[in-house]
Order: sequence, then C-alpha cells, then structure tokens
Amino acid sequence: MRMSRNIVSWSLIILLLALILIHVNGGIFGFNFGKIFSSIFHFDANDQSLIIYRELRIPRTFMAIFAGMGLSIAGLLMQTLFNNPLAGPSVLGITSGASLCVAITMMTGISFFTSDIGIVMIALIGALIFSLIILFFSMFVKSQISLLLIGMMLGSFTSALIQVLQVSSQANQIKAFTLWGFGSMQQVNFNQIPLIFGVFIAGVFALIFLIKPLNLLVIGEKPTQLLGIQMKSFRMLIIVVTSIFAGLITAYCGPISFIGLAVPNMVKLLYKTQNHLQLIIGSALVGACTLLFCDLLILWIEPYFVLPLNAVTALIGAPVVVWIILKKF
Amino acid sequence: MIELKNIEIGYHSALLSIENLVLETGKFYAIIGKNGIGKTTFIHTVLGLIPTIKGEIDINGQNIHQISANQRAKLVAHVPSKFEGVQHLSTRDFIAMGRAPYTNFLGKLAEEDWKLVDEISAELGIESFLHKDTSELSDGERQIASIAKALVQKTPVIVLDEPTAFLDYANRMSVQKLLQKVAKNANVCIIQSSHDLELCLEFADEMLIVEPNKKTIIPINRANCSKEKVIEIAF
Amino acid sequence: MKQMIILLNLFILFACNQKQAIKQSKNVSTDLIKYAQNFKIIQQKGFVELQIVNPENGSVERDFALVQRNSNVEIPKNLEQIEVPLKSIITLSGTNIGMIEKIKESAKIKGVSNSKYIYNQTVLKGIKSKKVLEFDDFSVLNPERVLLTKSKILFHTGFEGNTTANEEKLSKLGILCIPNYDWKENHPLGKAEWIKVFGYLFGKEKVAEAYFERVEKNYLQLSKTAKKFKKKPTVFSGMVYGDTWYMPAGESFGAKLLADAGANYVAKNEKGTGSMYYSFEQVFKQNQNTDFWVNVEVPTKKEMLKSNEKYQYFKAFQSNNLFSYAHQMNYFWENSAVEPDRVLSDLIQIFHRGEVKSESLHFYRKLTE
Repeated sequence: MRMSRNIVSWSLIILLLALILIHVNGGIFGFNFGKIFSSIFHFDANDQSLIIYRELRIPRTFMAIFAGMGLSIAGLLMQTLFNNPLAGPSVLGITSGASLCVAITMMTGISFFTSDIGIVMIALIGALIFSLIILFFSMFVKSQISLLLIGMMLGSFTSALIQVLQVSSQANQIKAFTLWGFGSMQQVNFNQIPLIFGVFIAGVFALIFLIKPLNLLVIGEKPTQLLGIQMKSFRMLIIVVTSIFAGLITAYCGPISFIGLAVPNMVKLLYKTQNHLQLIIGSALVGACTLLFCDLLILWIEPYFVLPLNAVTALIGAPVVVWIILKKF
Repeated sequence: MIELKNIEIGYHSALLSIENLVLETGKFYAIIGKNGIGKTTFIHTVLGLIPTIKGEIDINGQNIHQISANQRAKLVAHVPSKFEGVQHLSTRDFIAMGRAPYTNFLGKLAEEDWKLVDEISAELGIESFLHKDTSELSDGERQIASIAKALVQKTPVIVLDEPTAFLDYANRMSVQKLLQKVAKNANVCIIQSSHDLELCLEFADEMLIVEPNKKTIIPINRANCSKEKVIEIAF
Repeated sequence: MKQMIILLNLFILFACNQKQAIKQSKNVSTDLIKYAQNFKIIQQKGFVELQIVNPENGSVERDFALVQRNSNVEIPKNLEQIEVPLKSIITLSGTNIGMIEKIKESAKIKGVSNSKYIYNQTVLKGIKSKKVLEFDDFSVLNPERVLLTKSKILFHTGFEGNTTANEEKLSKLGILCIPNYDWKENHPLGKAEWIKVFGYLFGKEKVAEAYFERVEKNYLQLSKTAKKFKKKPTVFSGMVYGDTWYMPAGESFGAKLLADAGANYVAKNEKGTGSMYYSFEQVFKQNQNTDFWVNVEVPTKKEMLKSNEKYQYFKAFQSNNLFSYAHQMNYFWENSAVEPDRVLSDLIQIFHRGEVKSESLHFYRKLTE
C-alpha cells in the first residue's frame, strides 16, 4: 500500500511539473527555465519576453498552483471536521463570507480596504466569521445534509445582501464585482506574490499541528477528545487555517467553486488512506493539477471564446459531486 | 484504582449521588439500572467529559477533572457501544490510535508503540483481521478492535458504554469473557454499563446497581448476588 | 451571466448620468476643446498634449504627449509619450468605433470587444478574417492576446479610480491603456467632441475638427429652432427589465437631447448621480397619459406586448406614439454619439410633426403593428 501511494505521489508530482511547464509557457509545452529564471532574477524591462513571463505568466501559474492547493486543503479540513464528504469552503458558505466582505469594500470604496493587505485581511475576516457561524450551527444539527443546507442558506443570505448593496452602487462597481465573481487567475501581479506566498506558508505551518488530531478525528469527535485532544482549540485552529486559505484565495481569485469539494474526494479515491499527512500532500498535488488544467482549458479555448473559470470548475466538479452523492448517501 | 469521593453527578441537577466508592484494578464491574437513570451520565463523568456537581473522582490519586485531556487519556480509556468503521482505515491503524496520548504533536508512533499494538492484538487473537479495512469488519470484530485500542492506551481504567448492545449472543458471550480475562491479566479496572443481566452475573466481579429511589449506586459482589436481588433493587 | 453583462452595458450606455460639470481652468488659452469636460487637447511647442480628466473630481488623470513619429522633441518628464499617427489601435468602446469610422481610419482598428455588439462592417470583416481580435471585458482580458495585435494603444470604458491588475500588466508590456469617458459627458456635443481625440491620434485633426464644427453648427441651429415651439409634448423612455425600469436621469446627455428637441422629459428634474430606476407601477402612474415613448427596444407593438402585456394601457401605446431604433441597436450605439445633430433632428421630427419641414427619420422609427 505504502509503495503504491508513493507511486501515486510521484506520478502526481511529474504531472504537476508538466502542467506547470505548459501553463507557464502560455499553453504550449516547453522548457524555458532560462527565461523564467532571468525574468525573476535578472529582470530587464526592455526585453518583452521577460516582461511576459514576469508580469503575465508566472503570476498566473503561481496563483493557479497555490489556489488549487489551498482550496483543496481547506476542503479536506472541512470534510474531516464535519465528517462530511460534501463539505467544502464554498458549499459551507465560507467563501461567501469572504465574498461579502470583498463586495462591501468594492462597492463602498473605503480606500484602506482596496490596498493589497486590506483586501486580504477583510477577506480573511469574512471567511473566519462565516466559518464560526457554520461551526456554531454544527453543534446543534446532527445530520450531514442539514449542515450543508445551512451552508447554502448562508450563501443565499450573502447574495441577497450583495444584491442590496448593488442596488445602491454604481454600474462600474457592479460590473467589476460581477466579473470578479466569475473567478480568475489573472488578477495577481508579480509584486503581490510574496504576500500571498507568506500568508500561504503561515497556513501550511499551522497545518503541521493539525495532522495528529485530524487523523484521530476520522473516528469521531468524542473518541478524539478521549484520546487526549483539546477539541475546542483544535476546532478553532481548523477553522482559522481554513479561513486563511479560503479568504486569501477568494480575495485574489474570486469565489472559486467545486475545487475544495471535489479534489479531496478524488484524493481519497487515489490514496485509499486516512492518514492526513498523505491526504494533505495529495490534496495539494491534485488541487494544483486540477486548477492548472482548468485554467489551461481557458487558455486553449480563448481564441474562440472566453470561458469564466467558475464555469470550467463546475463542469468538472459537478459530476464528481453527483458521483459522491450516489456513492455515499 | 478509582475513587469516587462524595460525588453528585448530572447535567444541571443531580441525577445520582454516591457517597464513597472505590473501584479496584484487576476487577470487572458492571453498572446495571433502568433506562434513563443516569448510567451514561455516570460514564461520561468518569471519562471527564462532564464535570461533577459536587465531590471529586480520582484515578490513581489524580482528580480527573483537574488534569489536561492528554493526561486524562493516560488514565481512562473508553469503548463506545458501536464503532461504525471508517473506509480506508485499517484495523491496525485504528488500534494504534490508542497510543495517541503518548506521542508528540506530530503523532508519529515509535517502534515500541507498534510492538505493543501487535502484542495486544496477538493476546486478543485478532491477527487474522489486523490488516483488514475497519469498514469491512463484522460488528463483533469491530467491538474487539475497540477493546484492543483501549488496551493499547495502557490506562488503569477502561469504561465501556453498553459494549454488547449491537452484538449477537455468541459475540456478547465472547466479549464478556474477554473483558473478564483482560481485567485480571492486564490488571485494569473495567467498568461497563449493560442490559445483559445474565451475562453480567456470569462474568463481572461486582455489580454496581443503580437504586432509583435513593438515586445512588449500590455495589454488590457477584458471590452475594442473584438475578432476583438485582431486579428487586434496580427495577 | 452573459445577460447580466449585456444588461450592465445597457445600463452604462443609457442610464448613467453625470456629476456636475467641473469648471475648466481659464488660463489654458490654447485649449482646443469647447464642450467636452473629460479631456483636453492643448497645443504645446512641438507636440500636442492630450489630458484625460477624471469625471469624478476634475483632476488630470492621464497626461499624454502626442509626438510626430521620428521627430526629436523634448517632452516634459511627467507626460507619457505617444507616437502619432497611430498605425493601429484597440478600442473596447463601441462609440469610439463610430468616431474612428467618421475619420476613415476604421481599417486600423485591430481589437474590439465582443462582435455581438459591433455594427461596423470593416471591423466585422476583420474579425472574420482574423485580422481583428475580439476581447473580453477590460478587467479580465488576457494581456498576451493584446500583444498579438501589435497595437500600442488600447481604449477602454473608463471607470474612475479603478486601476485593474490588467492595466498595470499592459503598461509593463508597453501598451498604453486610455480610459474613454465620453459616456460621462454632460452635453451631447461634448460626447461627440471625443472624435477630436482620434483625429489627433491618427493625424487627421483637420478632418475631425471640420466634422465636429459641422455637427456643432447643425446641432445649435436645430436646438434654436426647437426652442421656439411653445407646445412641449411630454416624453418618457425605455422599457422594463425584470422588475426595474431604467431611465436616464435629468442631467444626462440623454435628457439634454430630449430637452433640446423641445420636449418635456418626465424625469428632467431627477438630480443626483447614478441612474433612475423605477418600478412598473411608478412609471405607469407617472406616464399613463404621457404623449411620447422613445427608446423602445423592439420594432413592433406585437413584440412589445409579448414582452409585457401591461404596456397596452399607456396612452402613448394606444395612440401609436412609440419610437424605437431604426437599425439594429449596435448601429445606434456606434453612431448616435458622433451624430448628435442627426439624433436631435429625429427627435424634433418626432415631437413636432407638422411644425417643421418633414424629413425622414434616420436613427428612430415609429413602431409598426
């Protein structure tokens, strides 16, 4: 088993590298390490090909990799915490929380919040608040389906609030927000990469402390507690880490659906384990590959027509969800 | 050794009050009483999940409500009435979870931990399904795996909440026999709640009968106990 | 979602109204602009300065120096340089296409927004033969595809204070993105005057100025005539979308056109920024007996009733005073901005039939059964 899992991991790593090489070359496979290297370290503002790598391709590839990883890991955490294969940051309304806060800043135009740090912070706070709401309800509802329905209600509630905001905002703000809602890997600039990477790494660091309790949590909350885990602080840490990933990514890429829900299920199918160290690594790899692939589809089809990212993720994700429902409910 | 010192238990108002009760290691206790009388509340209190209203519960001299969850997990282990099994979780990995209180924050098991898991599995005679997925085990096998997990936890006290409720007669017998053996061989204090009066009378060392009028627990040694007497006191 | 975008486009085109005009500074004696508030063209020594003015606060948002290709003029450091005449251009605003067509340079358009919203035949042919690329909305287009057009200038519908990630990326690739604020102008002539921007960019400033002078003369002449009419018929505009009826507010160029045509626009006193939206009931109460109904977006009364049966209760509907666009809507969007005199002439014909020498309508058309 261990052997075959390693084979899966290495195959995924090779696939990921291949997808990165295609994606960073604008959709065509190629080895351009020299260009990539010099566009980062020996940047020459007069060389157009270097500008293309530095300003367009590298940020887009970077964002696709890390958004895929972050959303999938967040989905995995939610699925284990709520013991629910259909949980995920978008289904439970956590990205809605981030969206709402971003909508408020976009449509009211408070200037602090339109700065990079400001928008990340406000999105994190939004995600955190909505995660806590879901956590609160999870203590009262016993059924898995009920919690999902509550998550969807949070989503509806948010869209209603956003519509109320839209009535009193200007056309351009509505348009900007609508387009943001489609999801995109293109809105990140090269100089924003360190901030995103930093926050992401903070999330990964916190993950280290979650692996042991997550592994226990698969047999239930009470047994976990009786094996010596402080459930209250553990639950809070999961919520914080999920909010970091979901909020960060929503702030920069829009509310991306289905990745967080579908990827962890695919990973469990591939890895056949409950060891969360492996599940996290698997989710990161499969998540990055999936989102890179979705974005590549957009790149390839672009000359004919423009696909919104959320349409692509839904096309791939929705069948996976139906399959899970058929299998597990 | 577990000592209940003048306690009152319950969620808001006292369900049961027990003046002084000492339960010893190496013995197998059975709690018997009417439904809704507070057996589960008693078990949850002993596990440290809910606080006592009055008094304290000490295990090996430590007040279980005043220590950390991790320390408590080294003193008392739990076997629920049913473990559903988890897909992709092997029986051996499941039993090994009992070592969690002894690992660091990463949860990595040492060589000795695995050795202990295999030893206890061998003692219980469950090597045959040790590498099976827990979702593929039979109810009886799962219950024994749960007991193995509790044993691996190496606690002086193991509490079982109706461990035979979902088993057929043959399995109920073998689980009771196993608990009787384990209490002696591993020198642990085993406390179970149960509705299986006959089986308890056959295998448990002492009955802890919940008396509904005074709302207290009356311990009676198996030697002095009969089915009629239990029924008279408890129901 | 696509519908949402279309709706938003409509919204921007028809419903957005303007903030109070900014006072132009008087000391710019060489300013070559008369009506437009949102750009300035200034003749400097050796080059022409093009300023794009932020409609919200009147500050200069972008400052360009238009320099003849291969000339060695020193320009101040704070100006962004554009070499003219342009060899190619991308514009995501339909109104710009109409202006560029009027100075006969539409063959140089190398990129546009979705072809669904375009009328210009040269551009449509170019899209078919892949010489002209279609782009998505400015904030989500892929900058790499812009490079394929080899254009250095990209015009997009300007939204003040909204620097998108794309703008930054494109500027690093050496592509200047210029916001188009013609839709924020108060006066129809101010909107039309934007043709001068393209005139100077393509080295056809004389053509553009001559064209604008003619339009201005016609427009002023027509509005002078219209002022004489004592009877001012009442008029309202638009149709209901979903539950909302959008109408241009009182200070928009749309309202100005109706006023200059000698009509009494029902929402003329609606102040404030943003568009006016009403419920069906509000519009009905106010306009059951209103004389005229313009900017109906379907060609026949039958289709009107199909979209909403309640339209039949308006007096304008019963008395057949309904006017929609004569051509497809794209034609109107592209050309009405640069031909306000023709729009005005149509409107005067509509409101004062019999009082003026009757001519055939160009942009508008009476609805048929």
